[in-house]
Amino acid sequence: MKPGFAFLVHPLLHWHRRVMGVRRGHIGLALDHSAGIEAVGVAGSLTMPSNQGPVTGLIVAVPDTAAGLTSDQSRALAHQIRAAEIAIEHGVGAIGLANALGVVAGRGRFLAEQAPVPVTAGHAATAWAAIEITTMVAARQPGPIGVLGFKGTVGEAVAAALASAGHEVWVDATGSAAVRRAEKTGCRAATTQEVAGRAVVLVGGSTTGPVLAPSLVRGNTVLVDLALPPTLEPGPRPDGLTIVAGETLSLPGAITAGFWGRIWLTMANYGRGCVFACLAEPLVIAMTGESGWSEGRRLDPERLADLGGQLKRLGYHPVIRKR
Amino acid sequence: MADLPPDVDPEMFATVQASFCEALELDDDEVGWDSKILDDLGAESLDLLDVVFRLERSFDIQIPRGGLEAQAQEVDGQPGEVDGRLTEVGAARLRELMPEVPADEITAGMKSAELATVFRVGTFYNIVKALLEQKAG
Repeated sequence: MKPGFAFLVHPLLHWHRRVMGVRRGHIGLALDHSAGIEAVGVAGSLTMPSNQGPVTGLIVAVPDTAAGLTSDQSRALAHQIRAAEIAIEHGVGAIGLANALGVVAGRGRFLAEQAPVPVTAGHAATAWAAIEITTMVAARQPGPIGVLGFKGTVGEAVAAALASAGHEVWVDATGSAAVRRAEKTGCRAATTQEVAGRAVVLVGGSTTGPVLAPSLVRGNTVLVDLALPPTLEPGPRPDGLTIVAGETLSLPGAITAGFWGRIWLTMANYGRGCVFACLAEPLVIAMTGESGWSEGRRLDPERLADLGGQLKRLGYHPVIRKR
Repeated sequence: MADLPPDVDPEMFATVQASFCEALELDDDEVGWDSKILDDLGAESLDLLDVVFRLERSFDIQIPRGGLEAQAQEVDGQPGEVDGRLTEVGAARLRELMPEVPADEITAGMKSAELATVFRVGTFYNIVKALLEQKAG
């Protein structure tokens, strides 16, 4: 079976580099020393189930952690290009960018300009899953919804969709431009502290990790968390706080993976029988031949709904899962 | 939109402006010399990463992360920052480094982590200009 799509990943922690080094037989990487472009390579593969038959995903890893990728974006782009070349040699029809690889080098736009197959950071699938999961949570717990990370692509799309559906949505928007965007999308602008204090359902969509002291969150709040590292700073949490993953999709069957593919799923924190939505977007591209859902800084609500329909047809459904 | 200061190279500024426009999907007339990056342009931290990369490619330079803050960490043997907040000497040094920012916006006691809130488009022009001068020797 030819691989349908590739997912370009990087080590999230230093011990991940060591594991990747062992997999690649790369001594420098295995010892967590610096490693060059020769360390880019296949980290594993997995076969994803779908209602239209299985599709294979190739995991291609670059050697740098997020800190390394963001501190030298030219090097990050060179690594992205090398990883894409390897993926294309394996015949993939779409490329997904995981974690910091979807942030650097123009959020993947410079790679997309050069790659002969569609490239996506998966923002559209993430936003769609977060909208669906938050809607399910809000149906059980009615009241004001807060969205943190409104200035980001996913945060704004989620807030706008929820407001458009008639929810009372508060967003962390304090600058003049952000306040204007909030008004335009039907949301109410406030500080992070005010948003957390009002919401009974809180969406953590910040792109920079912990932004909120737990003491600012109301008791019995449900936090739908998209952020990695997580939204909440360390500290005692309020009574009754529930945290659910913001972009988890259930699958129409089991993922099958070899030893190294299974290792990668574990390192990337994927639970059993589910995936993060960003992984599913390149899969949809590979299966349907359609693409472009995540293009641009602002996501189109109609295109999000279209992508959601495609995911559901393939058997991928948003699911509430505790983090 | 305010005019450019007299010593600013319009061509170089246009390239800096274009980097902001492309990264933030804004029109030229929305991105001026005095525009505050976070407040007026609505950028978030990842947008800054995008802008920096576009500037690096356009001018063939490498912009060090936290370069301004690093230059104000210690001034003539005195700390420019204590417990994450600017000291008087640190604030004074940053006012020198960022003449495009009104002086009353950089004050002692300000959190160093919040420095980006005062950045103007002109701040990035000046960073690029300094790096190009350094490169030219």
